[in-house]
Amino acid sequence: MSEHREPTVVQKNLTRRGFLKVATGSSVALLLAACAQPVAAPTTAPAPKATEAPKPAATTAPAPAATQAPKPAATQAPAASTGAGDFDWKKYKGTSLRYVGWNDNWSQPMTSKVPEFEDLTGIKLNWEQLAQDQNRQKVQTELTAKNKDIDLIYIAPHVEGIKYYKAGWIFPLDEYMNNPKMVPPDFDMKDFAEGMLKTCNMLGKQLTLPVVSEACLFIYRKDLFEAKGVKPPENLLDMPAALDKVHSPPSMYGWVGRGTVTQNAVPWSSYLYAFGGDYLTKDRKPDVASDASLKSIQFYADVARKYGPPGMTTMNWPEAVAQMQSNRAAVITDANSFRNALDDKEKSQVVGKVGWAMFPKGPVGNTPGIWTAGTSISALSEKKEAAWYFIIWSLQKKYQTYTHGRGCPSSRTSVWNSPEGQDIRKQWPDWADNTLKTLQISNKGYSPEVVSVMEVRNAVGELIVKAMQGVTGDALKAEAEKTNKAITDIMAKTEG
Amino acid sequence: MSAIAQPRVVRRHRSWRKVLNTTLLYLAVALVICPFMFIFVWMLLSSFKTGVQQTAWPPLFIFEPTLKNYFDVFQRVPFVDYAINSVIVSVSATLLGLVFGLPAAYSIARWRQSKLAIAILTSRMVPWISFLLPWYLLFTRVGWVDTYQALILTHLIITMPMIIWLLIAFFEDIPTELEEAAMIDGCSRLGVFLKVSVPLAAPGIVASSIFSLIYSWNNFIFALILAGRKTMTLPVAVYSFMSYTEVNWGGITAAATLIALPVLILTFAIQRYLIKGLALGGVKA
Repeated sequence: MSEHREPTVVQKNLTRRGFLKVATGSSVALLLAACAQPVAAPTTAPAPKATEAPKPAATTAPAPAATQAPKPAATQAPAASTGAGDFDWKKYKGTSLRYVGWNDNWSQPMTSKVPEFEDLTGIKLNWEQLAQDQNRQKVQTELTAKNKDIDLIYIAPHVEGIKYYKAGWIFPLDEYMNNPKMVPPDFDMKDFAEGMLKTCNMLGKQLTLPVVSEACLFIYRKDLFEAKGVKPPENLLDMPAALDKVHSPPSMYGWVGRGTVTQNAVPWSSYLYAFGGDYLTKDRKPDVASDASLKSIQFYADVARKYGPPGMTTMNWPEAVAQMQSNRAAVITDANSFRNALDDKEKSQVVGKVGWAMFPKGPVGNTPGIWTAGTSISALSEKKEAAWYFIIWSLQKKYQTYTHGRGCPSSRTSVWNSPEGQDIRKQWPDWADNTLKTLQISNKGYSPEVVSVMEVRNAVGELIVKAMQGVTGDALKAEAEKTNKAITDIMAKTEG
Repeated sequence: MSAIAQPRVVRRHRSWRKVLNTTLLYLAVALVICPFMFIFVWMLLSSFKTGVQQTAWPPLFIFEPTLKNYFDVFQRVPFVDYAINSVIVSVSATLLGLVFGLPAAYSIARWRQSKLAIAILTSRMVPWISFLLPWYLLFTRVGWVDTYQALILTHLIITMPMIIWLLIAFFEDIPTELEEAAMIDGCSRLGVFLKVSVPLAAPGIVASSIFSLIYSWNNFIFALILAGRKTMTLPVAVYSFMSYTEVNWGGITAAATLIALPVLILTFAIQRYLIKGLALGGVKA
């Protein structure tokens, strides 16, 4: 074997000049990648510069599309219906729409209703459904490239709302919503939960209409709590005492939740608000080093360390929910929409044993995080009116009732009170009542209202993980100051 | 019997050591393979489990299997259409990669164009996602989004560097004397390349083709952005089982198993070449 050790020509050259070249080559490559990053996942403001930056990689890109300044508000005035008549479903007959959406628990059941939309309106709908991260990648690439093909996108206002709007990708719905000719008479806009409608309104524009009402609840094992004679805590500070009673590792952990950097801020936000903190101050400065924020981080981390299963710092929601499903954890404070996963015989061992209580009141605040998502119209679409028809069609009472029955909590109050809604209330009374109650007391989202939600959430996430790893007291405060600085930088970069 | 037994004793003595060596070797191999196989076996097992069995603790190795996940795969995504798209894209990208890659590798090996080789390697090192926006802009301009040609061209960035780099070593191994002999006999440069060098590099060609086929087959990101309903490829099927508030491990593992199957069969069928190709490509023989 040894006589074969003579290196190949290329390897020989690599040792000297070649090595330098590889190094230069890769640094150029990295540079290109770094330049292109904001485009692939546009974290930067929509200024034309942002799209021009990666020129080296995009020399072939045709100039007009790349440099054209994006206009947040649609340039083209929607052709207000000319006919003096009433709302006409068939008005945009023959159009076809492209919808790049998610495959979540609203979109999946709605797919089966698409033929009804096509029959009613004569509009053809192509609905592409992807997991959320993949959806974001696709939508952001296509819209950065000014693709006019996309008419509808699915957004979570708290995650991509401001970012997409500022990039000039979302056509606000206000104009259509307030035009009686564009809304069917029996639509009843006032029926939507006010808080939910409000969370879809950012920077004074209605970016979408809510298809789902998600609220953070205290989800617990009713049977275990009853056996130990404990009630779900009403006050957050009483939570550890309650968890103590049901905590018996390694077979049953008292608490489980999202711990991983990218996700932990979502459920933690309810703790933050409970202690009276917030992501940002009123004048939009990062505020995670405040006393309230530090207390909430310490509290969250202590609970995770003391009552959580091993590996908390890498746990995302699928893993956390799996702990509940497989009878290994007693409490999770997270979204009401996990009902599907926890109360389905095919997926869960604890069907019928799960209780849904209000997220406990904090020492200062009582606004558990809420969340929603919905369909938005692409500002680049040339068929905005037809696209609006889909939104208004999909949110009619009957379809909201339909998806509500399939585990996607509706944002329409009337749906909860309809006969079908009453059936669900009977089946899961605590789930329904406490979701509705939460929606009444809270209109605060899980995430900070910034352009680059994910980056800010990750910065905070790292801080939470540090606390979970045992950083505490002044050291934690110092880390929090660093996080504040990081968020300031992110905001300076993305919000200008 | 005894007459023949005599010489055997001597041999047996030697074979004792041999047996021991082989056993140890296989033991070591098994030890190395175990972690890799475990993942695969786990995927296979999970694809036959129900949702409750997925999360059971302690993990189940013996359970009542279900085929539901496989039915789900065919129900949720147009699996056959995607499979056809995947075959078209990865096979074409590999073939095209060979058409361009073979002469490139040959020329790099014979004329020692190491700069060129490094340039090609660099394109492989750049994160692919950074190409996507320019490509997307380009393909929208020429109306190629959601077409096979766009996907095949982009997949060349996966297949070509792989083919070129593996084959450089193969071509270097072919003694120049062989080529010179052919040329003395009146063969042209092109003739030498086609009739002497390419046939001699056959094992390398097979090996590099398989590798590029696998990488192209598994690529997800290009299809996600550049493909549409008509040309979507298989890896997308896996992601359709991940959604907000639900990760359907049964569906994911069933789809993954189905996607891995053709590649696996192909790999086993051509394993001989593959191992030779690896050994030759990595260390000059």
